[in-house]
Amino acid sequence: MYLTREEEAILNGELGYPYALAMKVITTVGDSLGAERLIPVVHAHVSGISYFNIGDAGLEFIESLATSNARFQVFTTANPYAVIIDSSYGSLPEDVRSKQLKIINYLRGMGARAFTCAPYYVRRPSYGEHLAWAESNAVLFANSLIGAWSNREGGPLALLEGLLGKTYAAGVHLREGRSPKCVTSIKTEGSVSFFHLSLIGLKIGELCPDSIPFVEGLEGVSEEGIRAFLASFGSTSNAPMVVFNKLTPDSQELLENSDIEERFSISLGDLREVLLDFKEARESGGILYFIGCPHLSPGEFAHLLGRLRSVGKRDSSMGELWLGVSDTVSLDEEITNYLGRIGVRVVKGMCPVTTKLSLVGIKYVVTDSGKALHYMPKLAGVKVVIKDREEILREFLRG
Amino acid sequence: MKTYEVLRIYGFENVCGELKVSTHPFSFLGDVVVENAEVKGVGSIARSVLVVPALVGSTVGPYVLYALSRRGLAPKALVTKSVDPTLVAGCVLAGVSLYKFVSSAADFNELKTLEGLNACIEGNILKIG
Repeated sequence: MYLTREEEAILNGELGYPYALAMKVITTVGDSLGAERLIPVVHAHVSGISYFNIGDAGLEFIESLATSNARFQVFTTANPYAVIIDSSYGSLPEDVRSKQLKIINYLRGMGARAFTCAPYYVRRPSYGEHLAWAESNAVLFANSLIGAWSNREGGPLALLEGLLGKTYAAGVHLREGRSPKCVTSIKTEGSVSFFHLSLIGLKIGELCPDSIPFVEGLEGVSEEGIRAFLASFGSTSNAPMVVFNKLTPDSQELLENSDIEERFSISLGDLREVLLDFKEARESGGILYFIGCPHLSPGEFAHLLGRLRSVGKRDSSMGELWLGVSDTVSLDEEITNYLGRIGVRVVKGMCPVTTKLSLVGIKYVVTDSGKALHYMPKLAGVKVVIKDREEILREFLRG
Repeated sequence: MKTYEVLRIYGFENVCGELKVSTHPFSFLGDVVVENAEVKGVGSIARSVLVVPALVGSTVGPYVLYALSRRGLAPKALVTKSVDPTLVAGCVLAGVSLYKFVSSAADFNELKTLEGLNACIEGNILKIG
């Protein structure tokens, strides 16, 4: 890979250990993927923030950078951290909380602006912008809906790219890297709920585990609906992008220049078997209702608050409802207190999916997210049932 | 002895270890137990030459590979059909050699029957048995 004189100097340690490490890792990745040069990015987004995911090894890695005066050179956001609030279920062990707080503080010290898995609501990229993002749903959103350009970076790689403000010119940073390889036609009747879009996303991810799909049949779906699809798709596929017919910028041009290798057709009926698999036996107690994976958009959050404000009374001992949003969302004390009385908690900057919820006695999570369905049994140690958002609200409010 | 063609992406030119094979893609995050390097259906991948079609899912995977490495439980080498930036970054940070499987799909499917044998990668050749 060609490096400028300045980049060579950084590689040789002129700016110190963190930047030399960043240059070494980024150029090695770039070389292995055939990149010829580095390119500037305007926004980095780091994943791997929950202590439960990265453990002591991850904490020590971040600590080693932060204590060596590493600072992000471009606008940088980070994924949400483990849920460290006190809830009616109990609290996480003190050593977990303190290690999680260390991770947060190190990243803030390095210049992280927000903690959320939806960085596009903190700073929405522009068409054609180069990014270094690591959260799969965010990468898929940026490439597929905005037409920004980001590879699906590993968590530590995006962190190192934020330190340099650069990435390698390969993958979807090049036009030829954005070509779809499989076509998937979806047959639906009438409107499709987020819940169904989540299931379709999981299925298409299984069909196209390492190639960009061209998806037909979702032309009328809202941006938030496509977001639900993408979050699920990213759980079962490695692809950094989905080309949606008429929704993705330049979709026709990308299809015309592609070399399609596989074709699939699926209908909602094909998912019936999957739905039956998800019908978990409901255990007594330890139920959590969770909406906000990925973090809610401002519109979704306002809509849910509107619904919940008219509730009146509810027995909060019958399980809580957690709403996941960015830590940049502000909420006045009066609403927070009211929500608390009916068992609703707004978990700002946090992620229940990457929190070992079994440690606080939660056994069973009801959610509308295919991504949560995919990861929570493994990461949170709970059983998960996926339902339509309206159905979740009805069940929660019934208590 | 069986031989297959691979392409070195990162790491050593010569690596040997016990052959472990996953016939399905898996995710480092969630599918690997960091404490003992166990993968469901595969067993311990510690210090192995691990063959897997692809590593999928979370971008947090590199931290898991890094944590395995810090515990001395990382595979010595990874051989995959699909190479992506997340995987390469994880291998660089963890010091795990990474190779792309170049031989045919039929050859790849045959590898499961050789699991448990000694596997050595020399240059761009994977030798088993």
